[in-house]
Amino acid sequence: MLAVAVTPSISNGRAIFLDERKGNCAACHKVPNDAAIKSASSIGAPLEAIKARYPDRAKLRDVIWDFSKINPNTIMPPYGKHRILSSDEIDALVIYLESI
Amino acid sequence: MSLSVAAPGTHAQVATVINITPEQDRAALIQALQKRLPGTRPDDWMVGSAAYEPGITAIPLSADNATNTADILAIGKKQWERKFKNGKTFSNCFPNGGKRIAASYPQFEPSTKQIVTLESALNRCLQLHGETTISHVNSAEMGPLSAYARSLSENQPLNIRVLGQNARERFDSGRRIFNARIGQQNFACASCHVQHAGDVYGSSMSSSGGTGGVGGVGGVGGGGLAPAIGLAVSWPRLQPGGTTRSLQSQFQRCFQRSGAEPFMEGSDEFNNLEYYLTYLSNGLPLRALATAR
Repeated sequence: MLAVAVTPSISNGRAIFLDERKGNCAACHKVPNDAAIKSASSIGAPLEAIKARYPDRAKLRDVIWDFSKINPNTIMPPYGKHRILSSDEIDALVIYLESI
Repeated sequence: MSLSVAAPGTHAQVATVINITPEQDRAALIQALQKRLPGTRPDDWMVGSAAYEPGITAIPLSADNATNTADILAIGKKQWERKFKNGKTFSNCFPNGGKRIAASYPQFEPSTKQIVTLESALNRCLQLHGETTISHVNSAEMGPLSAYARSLSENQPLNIRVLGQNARERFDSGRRIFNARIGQQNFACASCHVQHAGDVYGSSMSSSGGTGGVGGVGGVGGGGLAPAIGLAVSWPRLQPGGTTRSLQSQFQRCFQRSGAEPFMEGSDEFNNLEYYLTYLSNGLPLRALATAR
């Protein structure tokens, strides 16, 4: 399947975050600062203050790309390594995450 | 698909040699799950997320959609009692007329070195008496029949035996599949049912372009991830709409959720996985046809 270019933006990143066929991130993470996302999930850490936790954007990107490289026991899918998300989609997701 | 071997409850990416007995593996898993779910015991876990989700702890298994359960069992009873062309019935194929036998399935058959599930034993019976076999995926026929056959062993403690090297190889194969990372999502069965047992999976909704919800995994509606021990106690499961789902059909759903091509129902791989998973519930009472949680 050809990758479709995605403009890195908060709204595109949020859509990818929620899309079950893309990030499906709310299946595992609560988002305390986005009231519209009512996730009861307890698998991953709640996502907040991301910019403070990851001042280096490249490190946040690495986590999304393949967190198993950092924590081999993680359940988090390797979004970049396994081509679940394109590079553009990961960029959009990073921008959304930095906004919450 | 490549399968890697991991120690129980972990997810090592690199193959390692496992040299622990089935009982040591089961004991290690019980210990790991009790650490994750303090104050609970294996007999709590057979009700899945009801063991630790306060909202559904009050629902006993016996209250599970009793009308549909009775309907399915009535259909199964009719099939069980149906006379074959030669005048025999299913009860002629099993010791004790089929009563109190289901808790020992799946079982290893030394003569063929195969795992025989209850479903395959029912089909062997049909074959032996010149009848048409029922596909494993035919939930309308196999579901009620296997549910009724299991109901003849209701509350019998599961008693899966792993005797001899050949049985052990089947068991270890099931354990490898249980612990292997699979598919695009890179999940293992153990990721959800050991490492994150008791956690809630799934979002409810978003007001702008939300997902509409992600159901629970592993047949545990409500989003709680059920512990590996207790998972095999009550199959098939009654689904919304009155249909049934077999354990191996649930394996297929889990594989699909992991982005992996599932094995066929009745395949060696899924038979081995069912053998392993059912062994983990040894001692827990068999329950025929509970509602999916």
